[in-house]
Amino acid sequence: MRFKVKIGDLLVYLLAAVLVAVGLMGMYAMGAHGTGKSVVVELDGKEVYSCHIYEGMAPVEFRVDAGNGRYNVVLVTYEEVKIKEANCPDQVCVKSGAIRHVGQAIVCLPHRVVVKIKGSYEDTNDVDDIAF
Amino acid sequence: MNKVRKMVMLALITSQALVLHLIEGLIPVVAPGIKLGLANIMTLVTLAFFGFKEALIVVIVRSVLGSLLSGSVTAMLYSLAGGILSCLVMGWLYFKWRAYFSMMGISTAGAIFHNIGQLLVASWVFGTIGILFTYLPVLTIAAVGTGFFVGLASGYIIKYLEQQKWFRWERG
Repeated sequence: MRFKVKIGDLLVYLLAAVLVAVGLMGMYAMGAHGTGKSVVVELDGKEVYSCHIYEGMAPVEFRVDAGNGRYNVVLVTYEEVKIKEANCPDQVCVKSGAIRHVGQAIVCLPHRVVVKIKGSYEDTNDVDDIAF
Repeated sequence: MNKVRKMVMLALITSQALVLHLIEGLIPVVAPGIKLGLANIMTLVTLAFFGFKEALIVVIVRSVLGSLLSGSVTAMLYSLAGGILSCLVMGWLYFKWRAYFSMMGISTAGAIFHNIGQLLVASWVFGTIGILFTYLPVLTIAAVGTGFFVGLASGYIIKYLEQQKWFRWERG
């Protein structure tokens, strides 16, 4: 019989249940911080610092040492990210102010420092609904 | 079944799958990724009447043309990955383990693996495995529901076609 439920069907449903469990466990394992935004500080194109941004986080200050006494101080809070202080000649990075959204960046050319806000797939996701 | 007749039948089935694929795109979905999988009906019909190779061809042609016609070429990658993986699984179940499965079971397995194929490609494209875990539960639950009814529908179509004198076939 084509329509009668058979033993194999139960295996399919068992597989479905296992997959749901695996998915939920995977989501849990990725943790609460795994899906949010994060700040990445790059010096000379190399990542020197990164931290997650989440609600209720304590403000974080990070000092980028670009060598020869050159520095930038990055201030990260839940609301915004900015370069608070720097001893570069043009002060463009300080004057450019705060960034808030995924994809934004502050650049300090003299010190070759880049501060970016990166997102998880949820923020950068541009999946075409038709595609799925 | 002679060669020309087979080709015409496969072309008809492919065009029907294509129409179902496109109509499906017009139906609003509750969450990204959940869709009915109506085109899968034609894949199952092809499996039942023609064979594995033919079903794979129908799936590939349908995915490529469907993506071009719906205007999103990025969809092609997802559609192909899901379609091919689902066809492989359904073909394997249908030809090796048919005695142990109903059409609904085979169709549900196909729907589940369609999702897995798409999610694997999505994870690869976005460079994070998290996308797989996040969507897997909701898509699998949806696949169980849609797969059941798609299997039921294809079961009835196969039953009907078997009784038709004009539709003469040889099992692949």
